[in-house]
Amino acid sequence: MIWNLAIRNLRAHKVQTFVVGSIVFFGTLISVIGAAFLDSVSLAIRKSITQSIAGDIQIYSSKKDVQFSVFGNSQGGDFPDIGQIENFPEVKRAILENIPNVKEVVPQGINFALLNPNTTLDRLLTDLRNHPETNALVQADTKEHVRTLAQRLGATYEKNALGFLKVTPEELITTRAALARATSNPFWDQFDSNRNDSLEFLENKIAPLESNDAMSYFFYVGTTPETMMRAFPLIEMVQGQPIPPGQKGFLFNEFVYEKTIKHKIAVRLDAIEKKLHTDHITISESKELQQKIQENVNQAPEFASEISPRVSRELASNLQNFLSIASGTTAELLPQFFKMNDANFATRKAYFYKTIAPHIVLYRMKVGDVFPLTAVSRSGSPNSVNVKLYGIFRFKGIENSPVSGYFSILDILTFRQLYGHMTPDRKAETQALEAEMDGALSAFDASNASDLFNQNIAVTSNTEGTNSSSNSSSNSSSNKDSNANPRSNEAQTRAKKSMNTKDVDTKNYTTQEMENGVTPNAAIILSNPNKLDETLRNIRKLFADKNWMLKAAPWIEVSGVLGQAAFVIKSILLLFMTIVYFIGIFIVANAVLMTTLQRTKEIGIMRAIGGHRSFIRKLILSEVFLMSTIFGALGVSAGLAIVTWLGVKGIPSPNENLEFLFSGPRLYLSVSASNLAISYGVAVLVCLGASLYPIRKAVKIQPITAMRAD
Amino acid sequence: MALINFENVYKSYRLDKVDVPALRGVSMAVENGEFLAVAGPSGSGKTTLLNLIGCVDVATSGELKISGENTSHLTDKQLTNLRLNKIGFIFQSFNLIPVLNIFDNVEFPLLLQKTLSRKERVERVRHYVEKVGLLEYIQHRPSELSGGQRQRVAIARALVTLPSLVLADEPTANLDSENAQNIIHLMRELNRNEGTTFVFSTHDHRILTEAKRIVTLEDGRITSDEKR
Repeated sequence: MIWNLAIRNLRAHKVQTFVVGSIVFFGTLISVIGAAFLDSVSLAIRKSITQSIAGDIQIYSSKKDVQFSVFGNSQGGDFPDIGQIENFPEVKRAILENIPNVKEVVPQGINFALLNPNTTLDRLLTDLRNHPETNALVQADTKEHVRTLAQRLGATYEKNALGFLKVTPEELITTRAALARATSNPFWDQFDSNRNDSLEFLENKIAPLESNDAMSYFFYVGTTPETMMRAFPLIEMVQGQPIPPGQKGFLFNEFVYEKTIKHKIAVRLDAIEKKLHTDHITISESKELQQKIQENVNQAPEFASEISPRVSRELASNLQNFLSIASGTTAELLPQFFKMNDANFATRKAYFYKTIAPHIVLYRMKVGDVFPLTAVSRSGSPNSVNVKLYGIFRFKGIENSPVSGYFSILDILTFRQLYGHMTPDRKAETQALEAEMDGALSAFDASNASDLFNQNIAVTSNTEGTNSSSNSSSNSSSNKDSNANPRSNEAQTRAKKSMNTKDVDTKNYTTQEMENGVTPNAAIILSNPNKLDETLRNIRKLFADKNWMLKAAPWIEVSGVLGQAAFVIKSILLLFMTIVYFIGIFIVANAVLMTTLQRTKEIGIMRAIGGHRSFIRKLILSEVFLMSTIFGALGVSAGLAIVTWLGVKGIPSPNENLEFLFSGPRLYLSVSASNLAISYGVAVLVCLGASLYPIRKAVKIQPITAMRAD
Repeated sequence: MALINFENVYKSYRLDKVDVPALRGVSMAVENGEFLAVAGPSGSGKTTLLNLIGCVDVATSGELKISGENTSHLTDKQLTNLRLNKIGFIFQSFNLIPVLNIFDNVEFPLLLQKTLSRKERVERVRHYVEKVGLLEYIQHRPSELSGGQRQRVAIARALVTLPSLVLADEPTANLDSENAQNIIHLMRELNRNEGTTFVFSTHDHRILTEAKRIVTLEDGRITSDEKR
């Protein structure tokens, strides 16, 4: 009867029913979508973190009291010394044998690296040195290119020397002399007759003047590459090949490769195009894009100097045609070319890649190259090692995210070399190298006699020891310059030489050799990530039983702010939901109170003819229960429909930083049955809670009200 | 034992910090089976008297016993039970529950009582609806009936629980004289045939003639108590 009466009352008070119903409907709708969003973001963050670098669990030494984060701390890139896992192979074996649910144990070491690739001049001089046999036309063009660059350097040097460089008067004189010589006719006329000396002069005196602002910084994970690639499913090769098992080598992350190894002008053009496409803005309305265009225009003269004189002349007419300008050299036309606007951006960008880019070094490093990787060792001093770039990879789905995008992959042996953990072989080698260099330098020091400058001084390379691939000599005219600061100049050259030499360790290492050494931390991958807590307990118990000073931390603890991001988002959403529900309680309470007060007389009649207070209470509760269950069910259904739709379509990430949290450019929502049930239950409970106050008012209505005439 | 027994009953209401007396020392007894009209001008205390008898209000002082129970000493729940089981109400403005149809309205007190089976309820409801002559309207809503018809529904509702006492506060005030006569005749008939005690207030002289006993109130006091 109560139900019958409740249904009839709901029908009779359509407005109030509609108001409360709408609140319940939208409340559950928002709550379902919110819960789905939360679930999906949590899952996405977890996927991004665990499947890119961190794994489900990280283990590391408990001896040092530091908070380890695989992604660095909040300032970014500060990796404290976390010590090392003692006897990693034994630890790995014990975990794999004793702990069920562990799929892989991947040794890791994370560090910060920088890369200082060759400048244009470096590249040209290397070409001249390594390929003296190329055809005369190319040779002449290269030489002319070097000469133009020297002229350009002269102009900037004059400006800088009097500006921020603060050179001594002596330095100014010697450098001016060197620049004058490098641009003089006699020098170039005699270049080939004294090729080695001439190159040496250019390498020592001119090349260092060229500033290198194209340094690239990134992080890398030192690991056993094939285990890493197997264990982390997001890693996907885009170019080249994975580092072969047992080999030392490097894999660039596509993100950092495209952003820092590619020519800056091209990077800006790419960035502008991306903005135009994804953000649907125009250059004319974006300060940021105009800024990028201006930067390209500013860099145009430098860019022009990277193109060889012969190509420049050929390109000039092509550019004239393209720009419909009657005259002008390439160097004159390029600034105008780079001054792009919305109307011509697309065609100019296409022209840039098709016609101009082939004549410059678009990527300063290519797959297959051997290059010096510089990193800061544990002791704080920079350390360089030659590594081979085997390929370029990306973290599938989160390839645009800077969070993981700055992490490249290095073999763990090279990581140890860079970090200051030397293998016995390497130690011996280094000592030999140092001894040799000392010998050479003392020999150089000891003799200021002119005959010594005609003597070949052997320059060492890392693995082959003394060789004759590069010879160092100075002729008499540079003699005076050398005297200014021979040791530093020579040492610089030596360091550069040893790095430029394409020597790289190609020895094949066994897994044992790879794993048997310093391993700062290790990622553990689980077969079933849902059993994280249980597995974590087991691992901790194992460490305790074995008396190992090791910590096992779940992914969320070693992901720094990112792990907390999930928590923060959760909190914000929870807060939001709480506010929604509070407003809901308020509105529902008011609406129910309104219907109750409107029915004062009716309630009075029911009380007068024998209805108890409990009857009135039950009646109102039934009405609210009916409303909340019916409209709640509708809200849940609508929410489910929207979530399902968004699960197919995806929510686009507003920016690249969020792609990590979304684990891709779009977040695909999904919702669990338990969350649906919770949303539904909470909505009903909130409504019943909201009706308590109106009920209190209702039961106080006196039966005497029924007696009053209308 | 009298069904209703007043012993020097006082009732006053507080209105703007002033106590307004409504009944000033009423003593009287009503026996089972009476057909009693309470007469008097407006403000004489008729409604207050009925409210006290109907247990929707309690006396300020004095003693009012219904079936021997002093209403001043009862809890809300006990008073409610008394209203539910012993008293039937007929209101001046009918006071049917608008969202329920005639059957449901009449069945309502039986459902509150929870003593009859569904079958018994249906029989009982139909019996009384038939008695008030509205069987053909049993599925109609109150809003679809005329005033007289509504009041007849109210009578059926008041009688359906077989109360020992039916209270009617100005039951004909909102009706035309023909309908008023009909209602009073119906009440009289039920009083005669079923022995139900009726206490009703009115100031309509045409209806007063039907009463077997007329108690006249003036300024909260009984000025005449006339049995016929």
